[in-house]
Amino acid sequence: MVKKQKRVLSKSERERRKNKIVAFCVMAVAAVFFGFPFLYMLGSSVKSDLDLQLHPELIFPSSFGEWTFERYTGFFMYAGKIATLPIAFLNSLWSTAANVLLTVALDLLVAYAVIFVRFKFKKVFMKFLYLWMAIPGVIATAPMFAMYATIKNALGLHEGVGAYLYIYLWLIVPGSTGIFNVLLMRNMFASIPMEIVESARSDGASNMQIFRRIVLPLARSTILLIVLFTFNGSWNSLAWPLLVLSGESKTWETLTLALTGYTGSSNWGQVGYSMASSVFALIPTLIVFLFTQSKMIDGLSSTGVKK
Amino acid sequence: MDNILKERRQNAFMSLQNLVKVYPNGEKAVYNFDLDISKNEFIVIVGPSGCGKSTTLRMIAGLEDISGGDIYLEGELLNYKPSSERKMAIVFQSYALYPQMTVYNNIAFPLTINKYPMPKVNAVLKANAEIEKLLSTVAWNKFIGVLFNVCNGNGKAKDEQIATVFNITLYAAKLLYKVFGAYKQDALEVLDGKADEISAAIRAELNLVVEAENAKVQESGVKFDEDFCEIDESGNKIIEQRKYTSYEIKTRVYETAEKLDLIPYLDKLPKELSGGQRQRVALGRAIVREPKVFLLDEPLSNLDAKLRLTMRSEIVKLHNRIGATTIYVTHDQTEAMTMATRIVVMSRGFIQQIGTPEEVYQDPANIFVAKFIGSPSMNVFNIDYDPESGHLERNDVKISLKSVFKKRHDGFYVAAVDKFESLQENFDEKAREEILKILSATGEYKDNKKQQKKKGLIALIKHLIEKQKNKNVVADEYAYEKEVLSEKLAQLKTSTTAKHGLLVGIRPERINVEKAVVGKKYKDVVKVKPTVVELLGGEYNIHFDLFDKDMVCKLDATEKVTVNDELAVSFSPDDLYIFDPVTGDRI
Amino acid sequence: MASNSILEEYVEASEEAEIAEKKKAQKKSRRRESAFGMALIAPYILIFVVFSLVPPVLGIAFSFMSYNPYNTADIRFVGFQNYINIFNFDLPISKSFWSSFGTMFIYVAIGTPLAVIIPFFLAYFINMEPPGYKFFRALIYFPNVVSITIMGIIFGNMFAGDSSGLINSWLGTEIHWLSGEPWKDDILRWVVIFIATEWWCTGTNFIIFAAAFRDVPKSLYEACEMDGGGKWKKILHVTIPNIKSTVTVCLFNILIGYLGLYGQVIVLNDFTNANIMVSPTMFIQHYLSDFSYARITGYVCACALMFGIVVMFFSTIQRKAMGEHRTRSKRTEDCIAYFADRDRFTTEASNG
Repeated sequence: MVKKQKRVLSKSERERRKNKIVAFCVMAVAAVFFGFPFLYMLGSSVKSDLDLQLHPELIFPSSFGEWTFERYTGFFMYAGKIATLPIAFLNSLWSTAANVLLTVALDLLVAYAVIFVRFKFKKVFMKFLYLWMAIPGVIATAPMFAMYATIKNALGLHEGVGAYLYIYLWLIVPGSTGIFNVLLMRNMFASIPMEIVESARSDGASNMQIFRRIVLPLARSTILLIVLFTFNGSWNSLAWPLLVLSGESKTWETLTLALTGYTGSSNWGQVGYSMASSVFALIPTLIVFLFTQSKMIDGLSSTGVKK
Repeated sequence: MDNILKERRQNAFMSLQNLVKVYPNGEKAVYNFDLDISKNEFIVIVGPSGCGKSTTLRMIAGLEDISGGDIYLEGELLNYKPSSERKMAIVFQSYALYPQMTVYNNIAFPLTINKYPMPKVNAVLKANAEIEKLLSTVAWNKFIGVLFNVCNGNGKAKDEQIATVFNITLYAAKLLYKVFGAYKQDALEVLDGKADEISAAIRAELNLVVEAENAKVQESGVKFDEDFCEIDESGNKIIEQRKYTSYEIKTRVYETAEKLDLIPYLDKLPKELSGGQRQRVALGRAIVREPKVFLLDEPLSNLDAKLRLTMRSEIVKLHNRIGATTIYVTHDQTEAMTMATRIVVMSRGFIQQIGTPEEVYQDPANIFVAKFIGSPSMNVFNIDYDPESGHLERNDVKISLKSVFKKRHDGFYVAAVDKFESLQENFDEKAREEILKILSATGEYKDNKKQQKKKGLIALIKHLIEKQKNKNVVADEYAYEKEVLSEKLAQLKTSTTAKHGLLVGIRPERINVEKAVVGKKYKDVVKVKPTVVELLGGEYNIHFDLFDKDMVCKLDATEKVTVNDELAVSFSPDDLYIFDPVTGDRI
Repeated sequence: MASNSILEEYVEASEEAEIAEKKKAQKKSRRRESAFGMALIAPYILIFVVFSLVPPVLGIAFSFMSYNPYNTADIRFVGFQNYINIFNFDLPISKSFWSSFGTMFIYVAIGTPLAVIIPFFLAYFINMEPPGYKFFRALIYFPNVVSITIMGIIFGNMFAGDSSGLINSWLGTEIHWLSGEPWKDDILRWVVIFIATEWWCTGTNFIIFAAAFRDVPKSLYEACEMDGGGKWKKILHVTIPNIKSTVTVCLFNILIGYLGLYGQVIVLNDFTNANIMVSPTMFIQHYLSDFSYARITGYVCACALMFGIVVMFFSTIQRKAMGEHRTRSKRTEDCIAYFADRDRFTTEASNG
């Protein structure tokens, strides 16, 4: 290759370069702040108990011999029995999945009805949803719990599978009607050109066919977005499960709730175990995040403003 | 060479000398843009999208760095000046109005945030002269009547009103208002009689300040010209940098708004305006600064067809009225033809031709210009030229050319071959650009050099391996261009003597066409069937196929023509534009 | 002839009947479509009514009752007694309810500006696209998807009160970060809460602001440059006005979120410390979940209602304050007056 002549940088290019360097420095500092706690969590989870006591100032174990992974293996069996954490993990997993499915299904139905089907009270319905968004959710928590407790008491659901299912019904269902998600889906459907649907209809397609062949493929990215938002919300929700599951068996708890036992500063014996539990609980979130982070960020960029 | 440039820079109002733009990625967008502009010209730079016209404009405006060449405005080098100090204003395609500001504030914005050079005026002495002139020239009853009406009216800023009414400075108006304040309550009839008293009071007040000012002036030894501007020893006005006062801003914005019919919209936000109105606001923001040069970057392309037409004439009118030098960029040749005093046609970074609309239309320099200018565009077809007989012939069509052509043709090719041979002998960057320019005119693209940036790690690794492999092979940077050159040279050499193809163009309105009558015999005429007949009111655009090309001609709509009719078409040799297919140049 | 006209009439009649039938069929299909639409939204409405609409209505009813979900015999109507109790500051429970607002206000007053300013600057710098900006963006956003309990575990251990805490061991101190008593020596805990909140919450607004920055039209910056605006003028006249609406929406979300402060005060507390900070949400949760307080459920509902009103009050104020204000300018009038004045002297003089 003929060697390229080095061009003299113009003023604005130099300016841009300078800006980039400044921005990089700022971002590097920010990265330390936002990344360090994760390192600390990871490091502490593999430090031996001795190291945790003698070298609290170190992020990672002081020597090769002080690395330990027994806390990770200790999750599943605890004193010969299955530990509570994996069970909590399963509780969280199925309830989150159910919540996500229910939310997406309801949102799809409502959005399809509102955009593509003519029916009475449509306008009233939408207007009501808009207005209802202004009412803070805190008003509902106390009476909802009162409702939950009254019905539970009346039905005598204190233990057994019935009680478990009853509790999880109240954990899964109330969150599935989030209005923001409905509006997100509705706006997506509204952006589908009406002509496509009309021409499909004139070709004799049924509602089900239109939904499956036209609308669903187009709505894929919005569905994914709602799935992600709902997943994060449900997996990480604390306040309502704490209320509903208070006084119930440890094995019924969701993962986020189960981890509250380790929050705040814990005593020496527990630091490593709590950190390892956190890493364990973070795995599903991390997997979802790694695969979808660009989608999530793009979605937030475009919808967050309209929120 | 340098002397010529120097001379140009002194003589021309604005001189753009060999402007070059190279983007950071090494891509060259503008090659040697060279143009002198005289005052009050309306220059239109026209070309298809991506031809470098906007880049050129942005370089002139200072929004884009200049990679090479110089810009002079009135002999002053502009290259390194920030855009705000270039005394230019630009109107963007997207209007770029500040969405949070009303129309008034949008137009006033450049005046409010900047300092401008203005002559230093002594306000006191000027006020003195102005009031003296008023008192001595205007009849007292008229003067006092107007003053009385203003001061007892319901306007808010009375001093500003007085300044407006009598067309005097705000300082003088303030003084008048102060003196008149004592007489405000009196009836008009009473005031009428107090002419001497009031004018004496005004003069007394004036004397007070003027004397103090005179003393100060004498002490400092400043000199003034007849307009009370400070001058230095050699008699030049002393220029100071200052901001406009709010009264000055107000009057200037109002005057601008009036010129553009924007008065009813001054309080509106941009989002409440239609496209045309927004366009006018953007123009207003440009002209309120009274720049030396206007730059317009495709200002009409966001408007609908009808509005575009009215705004077009609006801009021309505006140009005629304020007469500012304008550089206008567009991709629409109609706009160029109708608005420009001179047109610059560009293609792929090269200037193809500079000339008045008539020149560019009647006398296109090369095949690109010929095809680009004119609507419907010129019909161009391939035809063989027989140098012996001097005929153009294809199939059974024969067009005989005048004998002058043969001479011109031979001369052209001899010169071309000479030029190409000298290029080949000494191939450098300049020669390469010469080749690229020829390619830009003929419209041949060099796709093979365009490297597509592939994404992904594997592609990157592959690229690196490739690079490593090629490291030792010294590739010729100019390989492609050299190949083109030798190819073209070979073609040119055969063309000098042998029978060869030429590109021939003819404007649609120059084609002689008539409806063929059955049974009538025609001479030197081609009979064709129209493929499409478009009625444009007074005339037809008739498409027909000839020489494997879709051709268009115009015919007055005196009698009805349908696709079933047959047309008799003939060309007169004088109307033909003949181009060399190798270089694209006109012969 | 006669038979013909009868025939015509017959044809007409049959046509009319046909049209009527078609109309009927159309009506029927419309009705069917309408029913179909309502059937589609029925599940949503059902869940919405039961879990979103009924509770607040019941809440209003409960607030006028003495209600015990575990003892239905104990339920009776008490009028405004619950509200009177709320405003009876002698009751320790009411006192703690109102003091919980103080905690919330401190959190909102300090946290809200931080939640705008920090993301704003980070977004400003990320938009210069420094090398690796995509990685930085993802990293800054990631804490946002981490659950609050994990945040509590990490920061709780980092700021542990004895020498085993990371920060203490670095500083060589034994500062009790997380065990101060509310309203007395609580500043350190607030510091930790805000650090942790910034770590946890910056992401969302950061991403949204970055998008808003990116969407400011470039030509506006260029226009400002042509008009003579420098770096700061560009930020003031171009950047800020163009992202204002985004900031408004974000601010609203932050405010609503921060008023409901709950998780941070629970998870950031030393395990030995009984002096927990109490926010209104926390207060309500606490008295609901404790079985021994079940008999005052009516009172708690009234508290929740009061709290809801406060939230609505602040969000309304915020919306009003950040909404579009247009001081009606009268430039058009002024301009017309200006031109009248300019010509006045000549016209009046010629008339006079």
